[in-house]
Amino acid sequence: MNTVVGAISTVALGALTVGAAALVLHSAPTEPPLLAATVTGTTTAAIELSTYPDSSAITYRRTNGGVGPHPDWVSYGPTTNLQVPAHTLVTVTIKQYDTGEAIPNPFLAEVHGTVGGTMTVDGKQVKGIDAEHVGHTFTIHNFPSTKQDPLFVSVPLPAVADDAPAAPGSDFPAPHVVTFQFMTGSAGTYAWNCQFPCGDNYASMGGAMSSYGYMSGTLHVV
Amino acid sequence: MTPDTDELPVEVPRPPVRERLRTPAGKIAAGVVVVFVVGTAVLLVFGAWWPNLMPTTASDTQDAVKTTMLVFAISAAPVMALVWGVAYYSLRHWRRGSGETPPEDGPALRGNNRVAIIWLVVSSVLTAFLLIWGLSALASTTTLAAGAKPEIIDVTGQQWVWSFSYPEDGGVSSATLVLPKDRPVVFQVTSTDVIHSFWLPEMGIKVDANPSVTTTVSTTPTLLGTFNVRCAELCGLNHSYMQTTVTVVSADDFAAWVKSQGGVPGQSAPAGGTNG
Amino acid sequence: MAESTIVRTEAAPTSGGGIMRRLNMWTGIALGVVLAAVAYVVGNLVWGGNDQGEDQAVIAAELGWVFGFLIGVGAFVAPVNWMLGRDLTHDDEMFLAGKDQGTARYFRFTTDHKVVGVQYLVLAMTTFGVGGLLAMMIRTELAVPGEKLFGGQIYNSLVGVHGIVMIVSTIIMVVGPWGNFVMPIMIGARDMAFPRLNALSFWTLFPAVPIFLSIAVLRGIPTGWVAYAPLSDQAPPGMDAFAIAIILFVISAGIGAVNIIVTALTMRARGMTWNRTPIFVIGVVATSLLGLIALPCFEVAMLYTLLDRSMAGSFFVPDQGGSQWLYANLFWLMGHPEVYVILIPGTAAVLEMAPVFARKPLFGARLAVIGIIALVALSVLVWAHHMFVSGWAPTLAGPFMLTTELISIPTGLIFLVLVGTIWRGNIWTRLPMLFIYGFLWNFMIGGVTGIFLSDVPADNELHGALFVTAHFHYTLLGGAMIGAMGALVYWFPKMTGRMLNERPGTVAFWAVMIGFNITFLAMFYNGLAGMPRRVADYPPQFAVGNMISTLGAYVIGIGMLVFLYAIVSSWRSGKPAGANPWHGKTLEWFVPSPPPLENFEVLPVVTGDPYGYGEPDTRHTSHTGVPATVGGGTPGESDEEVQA
Repeated sequence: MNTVVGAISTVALGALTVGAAALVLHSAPTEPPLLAATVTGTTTAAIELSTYPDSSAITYRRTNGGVGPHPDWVSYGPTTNLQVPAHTLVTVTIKQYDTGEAIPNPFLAEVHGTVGGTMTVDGKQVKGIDAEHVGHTFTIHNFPSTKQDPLFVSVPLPAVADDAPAAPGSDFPAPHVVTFQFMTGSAGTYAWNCQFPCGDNYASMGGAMSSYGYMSGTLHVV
Repeated sequence: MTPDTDELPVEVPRPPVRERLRTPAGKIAAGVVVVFVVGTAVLLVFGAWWPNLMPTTASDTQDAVKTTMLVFAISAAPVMALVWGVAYYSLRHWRRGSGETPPEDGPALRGNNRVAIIWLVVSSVLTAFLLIWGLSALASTTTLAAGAKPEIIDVTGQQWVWSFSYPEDGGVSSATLVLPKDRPVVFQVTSTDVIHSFWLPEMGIKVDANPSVTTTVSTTPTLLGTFNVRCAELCGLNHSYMQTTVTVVSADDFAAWVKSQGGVPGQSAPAGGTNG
Repeated sequence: MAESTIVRTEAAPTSGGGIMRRLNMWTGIALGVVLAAVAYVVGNLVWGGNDQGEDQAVIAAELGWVFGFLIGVGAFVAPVNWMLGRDLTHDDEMFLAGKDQGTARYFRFTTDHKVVGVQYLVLAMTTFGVGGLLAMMIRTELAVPGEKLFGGQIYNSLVGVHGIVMIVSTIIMVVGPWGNFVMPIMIGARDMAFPRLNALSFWTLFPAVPIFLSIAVLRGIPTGWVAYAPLSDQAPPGMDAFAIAIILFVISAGIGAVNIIVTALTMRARGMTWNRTPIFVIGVVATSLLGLIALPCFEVAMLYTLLDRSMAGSFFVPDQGGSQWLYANLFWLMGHPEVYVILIPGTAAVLEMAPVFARKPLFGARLAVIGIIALVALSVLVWAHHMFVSGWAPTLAGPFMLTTELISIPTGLIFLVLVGTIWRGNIWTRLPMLFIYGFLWNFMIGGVTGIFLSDVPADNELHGALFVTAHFHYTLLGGAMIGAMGALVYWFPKMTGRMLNERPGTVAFWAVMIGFNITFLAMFYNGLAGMPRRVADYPPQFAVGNMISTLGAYVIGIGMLVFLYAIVSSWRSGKPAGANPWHGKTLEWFVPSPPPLENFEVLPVVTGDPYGYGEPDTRHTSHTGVPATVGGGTPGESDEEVQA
């Protein structure tokens, strides 16, 4: 009897340890807040994002007067956790504040997956940008699955000039404003990230590029 | 020295098989044979079936892979049945309980040279067979089928997306792969950052995408349809999502697709084309 | 009473004895933490502005921890005293050996091989527990599609740390506890050849464990345990911690390997020729030799990774003239022999137990030795079968396929020996025998699936997918680890003086076996169906297989926890065991359980091999643990056989 009680207690203790560890790891990273697209019509919606050269403008990271663990990391803002309605024409506006360089894969300097295969940069409609001056990209990963429709969208965001002065009343220079539209299919969850190496370490893909919440996030189609 | 006639050994004819089977040793041998045969049959059935668990055969390479899996499974079946069968039979026949003290000692069988030699010879022959099969399968899957000029596709893997370009079709580039059926295709694979692995599960081909190096793999698609392209080497945060589709279409549909992407079927891309 | 004048030529006991008596694991931890903090602060001050400053400061902190710990635990007391001309006295040596110190000796730098064996057992179990905890979390995330529990970043770290902690744990799992505790007694020695190095090998490994755990606070690692470059170059500072822990581990393993090899070579009892040496000793020596050759390649690869990361080195960075294939080759030159370092001790333990529980000699013992030696020799020739799809040297695919398939022949010999021993034996179905059968089942599946992977076209389809994961879990967890668990049950009475309670032990066995087979058979299915490995999310067609694997994993977890309970409760209050509860014939069963400090009152003389079951005239030794009553020989030596 003692043996049974002892064995069951050990198993229970072990299960509790596993559960506790899982809970700690689950809640460790700050989950970025959800940004839902503004519904502008029965089948249209709009969402606005920005790409910043550092994390100072990301309000949800500011805790207790600090600026979060990596203030110098580039970051999408206001959040990377996005929600758009299904079967909708989504209009995305991205204000790109950051400088940039040549992109290693010119494929990603072209626009893919948007309506008409084009985007608008500062008012001008284009099919791609100069591969030598890319700031970031906005790329949604197509995840082949029987449970959700394919969705691949990749839009390059042009770089701000290296010597651009800060705009009045802001820490950042005047941004490039990029607008594009894509159609969502049925409900699903997609990963998206910037495909321009703007992080640290080897191939500039570490740091911000390898952490959720900065240059990668989730797109919920609901 | 002449032998004594009284000492001549008397020839004893071997008893018939049925009588031999009734001796204790005969019963054991029969029991083991039964277990072995049943075990082999079960494993053969399983081995013949299990290549069906693999993805649809969409290329000649995948066909060769499945055949190899079948042949190796069939070769392994008797070996597994023998080892497991003897172990199981021993437990059933000579189990002496789990008391405090051990049972008395068994027979002092230190070894059997004949068994050892037979075992070594059989396992070597089996290994040689598997090796020869494997080498010939390797040769056939790495040699391009003679005939149509192969379609050459540049594959670029980067964290965390695949992109494809068709240098022989006017430099068309795409995020999904489109292939013409029944035409050999050569993939020239590279990476712009870390090591990825370009894998077409339904076509049985895989090669790593390395930075600063181009690796090559080839096959011939044999089935129309849409299949998977997956990354098979952990490459960081979104490795799970580094997947896209490959669609195999007829040759005419392929030419139409190339044209719709702004390319020219069969024309080499201009120097310094869109692939990096 | 006459006074006699004795001229003392040795130095008198010194204050070194005082420090030595006060240092232990706790002072080690304290000094390690202090030095780590100091190093980190100083490192940040000096290098904070650099590009690699974060890595440099972390490396400094980890090194501070290691050196602080080693100094604080007293690893360097004897060498420092020697440098100062103060040799240790006999009392010092006996103190170092843990004489009369009770349980305190397990928490200090103690040289007695039995203490080191227990320390290794606890460390191996702890690291296995950590690895198992991580496995439970991995499987929980994978239970349903979608990244529900942890994001990819944390998940990749879980996978990588699970891998490396399990590798370290299974490498030391049999050689650490039993190679240290049992092997010297098995060869009739009083301790190992280098007792202080023995303690050092353990205490060098101990600080590596917190370093592995520190990966969690250093933003993890994005690579698997293979730490491929150049992804390792991109990684957060957790990668630096990983590299340093590996370097420590390899140093520890190297010291331990040298100790084992020299001990077995030079300290076997009189009469113990190699033909009379137990197969377990041969297995452990072969493993140590293999590890000594192979593990340093990993150490070098990690050192170069550290240099690439912290000092702008370019060993593995392709666009600076380095090569990622250099890393892959270095790694797999270690990686393949390393799996045999894990496998051979568990297998040797199973081969050692089979005669005892079949009451029959080891069938074809020379074949087992040949098999083990051939495995060691061939295992250094097969490494590139892990690189068939890497694109490195396609012309070498054929030769490496040849060597890999050849390795199935010595592996087959092991099966022949094992099954031949059981065949026609009088099978005593105590708990260790269950583990022998479990080994037979699991290792057969693991070995056969390896043959599929050795075929290059098949590997082109199966590499990087879950088929590989299931294969190596079958050989390492199902084979080596089941053998290790059996070894624990077998030698538990000798180490603790108590029998392991077989009722929870049997429940644990069945839970682990059933859970294990459910988990990994479902994983073979998913791998065949095309699911990649090391992914946090997957398309829905893999959902059923993953759910089954997860449930099976929970059953394994339950089984392991019940086993843990059996170990702990039996250690504390199990049935007292005599000297030879299994009626075995090897020398360790001729000393009390647990053995006294110097193992034997009288060193035994060996007259035959230890497998003479059913042979009344074969005696391994006539030593019965009773000291010589006839006045021959000085204490500690025996020139003549002691009659029972």
